[in-house]
Amino acid sequence: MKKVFSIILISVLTQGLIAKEVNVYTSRHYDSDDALYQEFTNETGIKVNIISGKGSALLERLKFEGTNSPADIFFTVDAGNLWKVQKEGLFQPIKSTKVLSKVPINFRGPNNEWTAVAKRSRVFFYNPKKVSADEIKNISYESLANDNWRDRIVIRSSNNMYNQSLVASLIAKNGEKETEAWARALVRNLARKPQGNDRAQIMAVANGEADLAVANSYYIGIMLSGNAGIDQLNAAKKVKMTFPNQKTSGAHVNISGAGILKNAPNPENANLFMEFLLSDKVQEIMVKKSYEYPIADVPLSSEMASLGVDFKEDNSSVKRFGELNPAAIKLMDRAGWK
Amino acid sequence: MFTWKLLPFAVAIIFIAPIIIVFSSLFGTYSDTWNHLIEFVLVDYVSTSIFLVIGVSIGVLTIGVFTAYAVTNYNFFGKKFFEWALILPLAIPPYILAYTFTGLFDANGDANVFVRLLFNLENNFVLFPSVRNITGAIIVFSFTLYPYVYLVTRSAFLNQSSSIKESGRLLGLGQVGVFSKISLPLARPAFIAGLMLVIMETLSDFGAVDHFAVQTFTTGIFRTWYGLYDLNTAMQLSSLLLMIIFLFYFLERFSREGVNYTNDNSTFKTSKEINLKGVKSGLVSFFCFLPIFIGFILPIIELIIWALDARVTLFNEKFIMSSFNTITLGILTGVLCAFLAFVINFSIRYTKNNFLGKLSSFLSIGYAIPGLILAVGITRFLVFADRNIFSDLDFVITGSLVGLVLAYIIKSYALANSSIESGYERISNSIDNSARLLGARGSILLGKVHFPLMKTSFLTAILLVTSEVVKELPATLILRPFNFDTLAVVTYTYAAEERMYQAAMPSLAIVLIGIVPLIFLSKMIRSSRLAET
Amino acid sequence: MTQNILKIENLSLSYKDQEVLKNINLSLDLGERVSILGESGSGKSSLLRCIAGFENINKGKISLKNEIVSSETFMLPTEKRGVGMVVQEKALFPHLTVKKNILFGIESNSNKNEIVSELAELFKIEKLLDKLPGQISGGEQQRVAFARSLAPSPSLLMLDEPFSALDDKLKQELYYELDKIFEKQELSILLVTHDREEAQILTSRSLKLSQGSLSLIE
Repeated sequence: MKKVFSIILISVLTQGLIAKEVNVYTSRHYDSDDALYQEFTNETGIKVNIISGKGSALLERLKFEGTNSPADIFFTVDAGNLWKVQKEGLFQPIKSTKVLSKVPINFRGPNNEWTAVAKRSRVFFYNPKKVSADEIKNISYESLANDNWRDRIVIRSSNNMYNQSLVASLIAKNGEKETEAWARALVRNLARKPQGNDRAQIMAVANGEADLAVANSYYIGIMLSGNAGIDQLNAAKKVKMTFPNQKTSGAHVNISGAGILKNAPNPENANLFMEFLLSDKVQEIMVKKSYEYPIADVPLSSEMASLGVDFKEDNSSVKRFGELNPAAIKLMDRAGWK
Repeated sequence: MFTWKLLPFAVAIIFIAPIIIVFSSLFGTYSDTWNHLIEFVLVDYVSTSIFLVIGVSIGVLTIGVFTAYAVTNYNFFGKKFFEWALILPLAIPPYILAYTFTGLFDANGDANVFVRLLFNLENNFVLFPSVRNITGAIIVFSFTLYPYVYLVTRSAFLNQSSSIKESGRLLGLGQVGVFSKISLPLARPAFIAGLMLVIMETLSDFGAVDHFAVQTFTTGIFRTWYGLYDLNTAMQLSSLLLMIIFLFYFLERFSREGVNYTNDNSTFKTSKEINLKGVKSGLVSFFCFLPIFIGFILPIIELIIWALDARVTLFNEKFIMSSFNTITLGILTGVLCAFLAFVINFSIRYTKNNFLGKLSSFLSIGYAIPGLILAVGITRFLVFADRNIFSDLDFVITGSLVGLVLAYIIKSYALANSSIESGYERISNSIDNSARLLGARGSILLGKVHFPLMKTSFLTAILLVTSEVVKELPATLILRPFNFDTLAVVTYTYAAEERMYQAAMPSLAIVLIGIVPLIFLSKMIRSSRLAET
Repeated sequence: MTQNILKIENLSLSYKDQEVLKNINLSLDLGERVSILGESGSGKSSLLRCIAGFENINKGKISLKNEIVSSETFMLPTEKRGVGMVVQEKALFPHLTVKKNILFGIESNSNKNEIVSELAELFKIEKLLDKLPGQISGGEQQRVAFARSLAPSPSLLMLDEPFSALDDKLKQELYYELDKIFEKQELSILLVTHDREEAQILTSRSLKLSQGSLSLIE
């Protein structure tokens, strides 16, 4: 009797997976994604099951679950996260031509294990009242180390993946030694101890706590849309955005991307999901709701368009961000970037 | 008779498995991440953690002991209110207080804005110092965790017979002397026990210190795992942290059993309270009000202000779903824990086996384990079970609620156990003997005699466990299944994005759910003089 | 003329509209030993507590050594009254050794150690000095309680049924020992008890307290 009871209990607790569905492990936390998943279900009748979490937590889960893993898709921001999953051999190559034809090669995994779905750039937001036109002209990441920026910069903690990838790209470009010196100087130029997220950095510039913030491009779109509250809307109006390194290597670009997992229980549904993400329609939704730059050739949202289209992108391969990630973190530790 | 003895062992094995898995990493390989850690950040992590612990200890001892003594021995303005209200901050988990603090005291936080409006000051005038540092963290932990010290110390003071204190006065001590030479030393085992609880909670926290960008040992573990992608080293660090926490855990147990200062019950007299008037009464009232204000009233006000912000829909689907999930999980875990504690305590009583008793106390160690470490151990344990036990049965328990509920049970068992244990202490053995003389076997004794007498303890156990489960964050983040969010997860996700308006409703829900058991607790505090801790 | 140690005039005490002590008058001189007999609930302990300063009085006056310590408008704090009390539950400090218990009231006294050894000898507890109260028997605890109360040389020693928890044999032993000690030290004693024999052995005068009123024994 007790045995029957416990079996029933266990099957109630474990969720029987019988329906048509696709299981997505995602580290994106944008509310707009919910609408995306709903749209996929409307179109295909396939239910989307979500588990969200930090990239590394999801990776650990994938590793532990091994062949038992119910995950079909790994959807994340930052190429570093994708590289790590790829390195563990957990992806299967994407074969769909619908997908591959739309994505340039530098935005895909080495064997098409994963692909970019949208782009974002790590840019500068500055206070036009405190930063002169000269200072901002032709500005580069490297110039943030200069003395004229002492106590004027805010950037978030080195814990964050976006900064780690930025540093990784600088290591790839300029070598470790130079990048370490740059990082030390940057830390000296900070207006305050790293705290808060990207949005908090932009707010700090709007509030006069600092003159320049380093943050991802899409935040300005979100803030200007008014969806995040009147405070953020007003703050966004007080800052200007600029793309660094326009005369040299181009602004640092990172991606949101996804891949199909090797042990996916629903590979066909997963494939459909990937194609869905790169369809023009969805690309448009993505840019309009999460303010990222599209992979496909669709128009930008008005807010983002007003801030600059066709900026020069750093074309180095995003694949390297993951590879150099541990080196980047250790470098930031050595430089005292908390 | 045979099954009763085995159950504690079986449960013990399941409880210990995750811990052993974590400790086993110590016997594996040590990567060169250690060199980097030792050279650059380990000293920082350790020193910050030590500094935090010392600061918080001073904070909670000052607040907890002072208020406990005031409320037990004096009558002053509002004393009846303060007596139970002082435990309210327990409903606010540290991470929520941290979020409201930053929302209030950041350069552009509501408190500074308010001051500017009030005094018509310039836009960059900042009155309140920044809280995103170790001082802010110390303040947050002190004001959310002092109730642990308050509760146990108050219970100890209540149990001090008046005749001992009166003897002190007859021998020449004034009020201050009685406090420092008699009441305080006698209460030492109690407030040390409370302090150990506080230290364990402080060291295990992730949400609050992460938000304040304070680098403690725990954030270091997260960073090594998330950032350096070295789970093995993270597990080794976790083992170290676990050892330190276990040290505090055993200090707490030792301190409680140390010297038995119980009284001869038959002649116990509750102390008569001294009446305070005027300025003295006002001052004491103020110092009792302050912790409640900072630890409870202020954050609630801020949360309500945020929740009322125009652009936020209060009852969206996510909120309703996660509330449902949270309450269900809480009650499910509560019932399981209470049931488990009940059966285990019964088997100890029935078989009168001392070793079983010690084993049961050992099971209580679960609450000392930080949620993150528990999650890591359990995940590995589940995968092991999946591969080796369930693979033929076509079940998959990784990714189901089993892991999460298991984590909750391990963490909350101690709470349920203390309630059930003290309930059992009140049932005299002669009742058992009578029943057995009349032919009742084990299960009948359990079901027909004990259970009806233990209903309050059972209910209390469920309530206490529910309030713990509602607040839990790190293990939930890692172990939860598909499409499953709790209120804590929703709060954290929004707060990490600095979207405080959206974080307000789920935060308030957590607090409200957490208050219910506290109200029951406070009623019991007043009525029973031998309050168990 | 012998010194007056205790004088109670027209003392009344009410508790929650119940009169506990009604118009008590009592006087004790140096070296006098008086017992107050009465059933439980008669107000005996309340009377002692008023003298000790643990209760505010409603009417009347209490004086110690001709100084007013309690009146309707004035209350001298307990710790300044210099009276001693031994109670039924002994009330030793459980966290201090026997020696430290006895030393408690005389910390600032220059010959405190002599006092302790004298009292220890007197009460036959020399061997117990380093033990904790939890480690000695009930009878031994009571002796320690006596020693502790006497250490600061109180002007008045009050006894609130200190022997009721002890068995008969122990009681008899203590009675005779204490009688000799009280005699030798010329202590003023106020004993509250329900045991007539005890009262007869230890005191020279007995009064009866019945429903709050004091009267002579018939």
